[in-house]
Amino acid sequence: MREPTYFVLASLLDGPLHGYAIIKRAEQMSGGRVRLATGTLYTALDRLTDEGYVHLVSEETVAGRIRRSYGLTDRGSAALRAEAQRMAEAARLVTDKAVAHGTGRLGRKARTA
Amino acid sequence: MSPLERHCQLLLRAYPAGYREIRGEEIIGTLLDATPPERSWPRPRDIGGLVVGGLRARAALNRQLGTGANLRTALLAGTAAYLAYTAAGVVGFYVRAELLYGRHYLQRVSVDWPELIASALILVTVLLAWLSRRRIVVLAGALPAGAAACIAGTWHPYGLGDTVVPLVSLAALVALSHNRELPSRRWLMPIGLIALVPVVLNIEPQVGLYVFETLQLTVAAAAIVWAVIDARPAVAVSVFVLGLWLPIAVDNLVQGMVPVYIWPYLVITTAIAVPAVWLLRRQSAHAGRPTRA
Repeated sequence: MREPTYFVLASLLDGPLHGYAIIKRAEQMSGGRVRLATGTLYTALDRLTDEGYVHLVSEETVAGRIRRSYGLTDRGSAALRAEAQRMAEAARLVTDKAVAHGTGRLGRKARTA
Repeated sequence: MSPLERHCQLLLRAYPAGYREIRGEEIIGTLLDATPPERSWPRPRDIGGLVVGGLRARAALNRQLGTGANLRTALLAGTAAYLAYTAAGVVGFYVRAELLYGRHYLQRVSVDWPELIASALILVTVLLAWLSRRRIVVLAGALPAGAAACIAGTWHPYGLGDTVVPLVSLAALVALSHNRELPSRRWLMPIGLIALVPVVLNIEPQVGLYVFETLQLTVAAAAIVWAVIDARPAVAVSVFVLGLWLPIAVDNLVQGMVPVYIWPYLVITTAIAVPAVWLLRRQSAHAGRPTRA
C-alpha cells in the first residue's frame, strides 16, 4: 500500500469525511509529509471504492455543489490495520537489531543503561 | 463565476465527459476549498494532479473492455479511415466541381459514374459500421458497395491493388462489426477529418501534398503520444497507413516486382503497430488482473 493511500484510509478512521477534509486530515496525520493533490485524491477514492475499502456515506449540497462524504468499510479498516501491523513489524526488525548490535541512538541508550 | 472556478472547469476537461458528469461538481468544490481565495488558478500541485488524474480516468475507460474488443475497435477505425479517405477523394472531386463550376458541371465532363457510385456506397457503409449495432446492416451496405467497386475497378495488373485492397477492407469492415459492441461515435470525428483531406486538396490544389504529409505526421505523432493513455488510435493509424501503401505493394507483387518503395512505410507501420498492440493489451481488461491498493 502506497503512503498516500495509507493516509487516505487512516484519515477516515475517526469517521466519514468529505474530499477537502480528507486532504487536510491526511496532511495533519502525516506531519505535513503527505499533501494530496485534488486529482490524486479522487483517483485514489475511485480505486479504493472499486476495491471495497471506502464507501459513499452521505451526499449534501453546499453552496450549490454536491459534497460527498466517504467512510471506511470493514474491508478497508482490516486492510489498514494489516498494513499498519506490517509496517510496525518491519520497523521492529530494524529497531531490535539496532538494540542488539548496540548501534544507533537506541543501541547507545541500551549500552549506557 | 469567478476566474478560479472558470479555470477549474477548464482543467476538469482532462477527464472524460462521463466522469465529469458524475464527479465534476464535487472536484471543483474541493479545488475551491483547497485554493487560497486570492489565487485565480489552483496550486501547481493540484493542476498536475488534475491533468494526471484526468488522463488516468481516460485510460481506465479501456479497461472496461477486453483486448479483443479494443483491438477490434482500433482495426475498425483504421479500416474505416482508409476507406473514407479513398472514397471521399472521389466523391469530393465531383461535389467540389459541382459547387465551384456550376450546377451542370457533371453533365459537361466525363463522369466515371461506377467509381462515383462505388465511392458513395463505401462512405455509406463506413457510416453504417459506426452507427449500426447489427452486422447484417453493415453487410447490406458492403455488398452493393463491393459490387460497384468490382464494376468500377480495374482488373489489369497495373492498378489491381486499388481494386482489391478496398474490397478486402470492406470485407474487414463487415467482419469487425460486432453485434453486441457499438464503437463510440467520437471516432467519427477524426475519421471525418481524415476523409476531408482529399476534399481540401481538391479545392486548394496549390496547398499541395506537404499539407497532407504534415497532417499525416501530426496525426501519427499525436496517436503515438496518446498511446500511453489509449493505444487504439496508434493501432488505427498503422492500419490506415498500411491501407494507403498496400495497393502499390499488390501492384508490384502482381507484376513480379519487389515493392521496394513501401519498405520504409511498412517498417514505420510495424514500429508503431507492435508496441501499440502491446500497450493495448496492457491497457485492456484481463480476468484476474491483480489490483494494487
